[in-house]
Amino acid sequence: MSKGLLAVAIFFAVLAFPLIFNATSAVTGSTKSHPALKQGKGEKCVKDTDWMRRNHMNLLKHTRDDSVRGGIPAGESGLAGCVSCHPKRGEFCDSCHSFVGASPECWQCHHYPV
Amino acid sequence: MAKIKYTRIEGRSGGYYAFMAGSALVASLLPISALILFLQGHHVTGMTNQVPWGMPIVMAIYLIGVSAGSLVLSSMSTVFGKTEYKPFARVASMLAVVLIVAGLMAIIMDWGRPDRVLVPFFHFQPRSMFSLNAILYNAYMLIGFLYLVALFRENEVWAKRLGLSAVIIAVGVHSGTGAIFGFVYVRELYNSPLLPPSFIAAALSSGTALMIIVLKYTFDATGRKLDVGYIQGLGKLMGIFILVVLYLIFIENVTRSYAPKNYEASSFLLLHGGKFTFYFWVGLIGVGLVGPAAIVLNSATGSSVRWILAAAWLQLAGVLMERYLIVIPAQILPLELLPGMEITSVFLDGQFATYSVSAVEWMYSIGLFGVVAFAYGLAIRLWPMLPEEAVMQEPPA
Amino acid sequence: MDFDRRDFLRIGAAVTAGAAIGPVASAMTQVEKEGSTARRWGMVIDADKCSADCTVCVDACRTENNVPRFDDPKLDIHWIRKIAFRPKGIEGATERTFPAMCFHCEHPPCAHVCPVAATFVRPDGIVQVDKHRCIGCRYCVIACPYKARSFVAKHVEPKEGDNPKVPSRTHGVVEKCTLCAHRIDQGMQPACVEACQKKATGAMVFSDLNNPDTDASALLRTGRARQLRADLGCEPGVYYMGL
Repeated sequence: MSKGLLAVAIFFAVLAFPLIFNATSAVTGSTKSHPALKQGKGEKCVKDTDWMRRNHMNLLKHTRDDSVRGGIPAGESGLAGCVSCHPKRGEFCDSCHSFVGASPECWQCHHYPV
Repeated sequence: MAKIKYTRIEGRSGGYYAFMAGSALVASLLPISALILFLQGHHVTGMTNQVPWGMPIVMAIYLIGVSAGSLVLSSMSTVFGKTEYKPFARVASMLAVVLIVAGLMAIIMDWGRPDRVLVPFFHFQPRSMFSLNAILYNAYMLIGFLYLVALFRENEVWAKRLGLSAVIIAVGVHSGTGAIFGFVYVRELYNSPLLPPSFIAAALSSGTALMIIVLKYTFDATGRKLDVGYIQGLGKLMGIFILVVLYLIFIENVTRSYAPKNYEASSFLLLHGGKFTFYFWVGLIGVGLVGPAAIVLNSATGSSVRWILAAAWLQLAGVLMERYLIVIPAQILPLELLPGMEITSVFLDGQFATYSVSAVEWMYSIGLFGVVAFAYGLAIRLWPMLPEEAVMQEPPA
Repeated sequence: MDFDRRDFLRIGAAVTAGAAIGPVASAMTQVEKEGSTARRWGMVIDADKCSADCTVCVDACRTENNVPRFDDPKLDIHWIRKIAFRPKGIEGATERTFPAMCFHCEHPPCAHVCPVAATFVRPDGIVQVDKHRCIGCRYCVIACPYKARSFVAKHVEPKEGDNPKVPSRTHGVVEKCTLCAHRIDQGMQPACVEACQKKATGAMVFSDLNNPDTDASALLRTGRARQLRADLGCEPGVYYMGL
């Protein structure tokens, strides 16, 4: 029985390792400041900045599905819309993505600027 | 009937470890080749834009077939009242579950994007045989597993219920798999309403062949007693199934060959298709079907365990050949874009395609056998799958 | 948060409905622009006007859609190709040619067999592959009667000089002619047709087949145009004259 418990404990310890490591390590996402994004052209984005920071991928995904499957042009809410204000991927998308360690599949096929 | 005592195998002999190490080594070829496919793309295989389905699909339908066959055999005692086969119900249904998992692995890892494995669960397309089969395969896997559990708990009522459901779904699974090809109306060698039943027949014959081989070798290796009558009975059964397969193949080809528009397709497979014609007549008809049927239905050789075992091996290889001949030749034939015209293009329109199995595909296919062998070896050691002895109370009718 | 839950559910429901029975008009109440069910985009191609050594349409397609060349006929991707034909069994018969691409069938076998509805019919009749969803099972390549589909068997990097309007590809998905939907949505003609009319003989004519006043409809009314393998009942949107 104790052998089994030990095994379970070790399993969860391994499982929780990334969390523990990040919580205790000096170099973590929470202590680093966000990368400074280059200000885009124009007055404001299609949604406010805070919303976009969290949800831009959902917005892009929905406009993607609408335009690919329904033939409805994505307009300013699509990837092509981003380009009109943020012309350089490296200065905008990538700086955050590499900070949080996200590697969206978009760029495997899509060009930027579109 | 006396209560059957099932036991685990001891699994401490050098032979067992050698078997497990060997099959693990072979099984490791599967993830390696699947990773190569995923990272490199299908240009490392013999598959092309003319022959988009190759050896992985052949293996998939082969394994799924053998699975359905062994499941039906497992249910002989629980569903069809052939109680003398009860000792093998557990091991047969375990093999059915192992084989369907291996078959699904074969399909999924051959996708261009196996990382999208969950997509079919979210998007259903009722006209697609693949989409319907995804449901059938998963239901079959689940019910097969529950049936195995019921067998282990000696719950006869549920074993019968689940066994019957599993048999019904097994028929559905195999009709569905046959329909993947049978419904493709643009390719003469695929389009046939006989593919679903002939898939079931070949599943039964190859499933029986697998049981003969597995039982004989496992019982011998673990020093358990196995009545000769069982092997003889299974041999006879296999012979009858093979006759059904032969009949269906005969009808299918005669029907196809009758229409002048199919002369080209039929004569390609039956007369001048090079290696495919050779595989058909010698590999499938001769060695794979007529040979084993003659052995087991002949009263002299049909009672010899050695001969039956040989026939089972031939049949197991013969059905693999049958699956190959179902999948590949239909893609070799050019599509008739303009009937009555000769056409050519840079996309090889109007030309016979070529296909040869590449090294990666060999690794992939052999690796699947390794996975099945390893899982089998592990299961009979972990759980009491096998009876201590299989002795017949009365000779089978 | 104005991209709220209701919004999410609405779009989700529309997309799901679209996946089940083909994109439906209700998914597009918001912006009813392109993708109209009233339209049926199609082509009429005159094989008599198509000269054997001309590949203007094929080249235009490769440039417009970034279709790569692997220089291996077994792997190569073809969205449009020139097919040479002559009658069987007649000595010395002249060889003529016509271009063939995806015919954007009304009953497309590829869309019928696709297990995840990655291939679907847009309301305006364009058969599209959603490469975000394709799992690469290649059933559609098996089922297409016209060999219009190619599986990408080798990785292709997006490269300099690509047309940025059209995405590149990853290996592992199936693709085919999109009828230049991105151009049609902006009121332009497909690249192959434009090239054929500007640089070649104008053998290809593209327009809305449901509108009786278009060039293609007029050609259809001559009674000389027919579909390839009409016997299969797939109802291709591309018609041929002079075959």
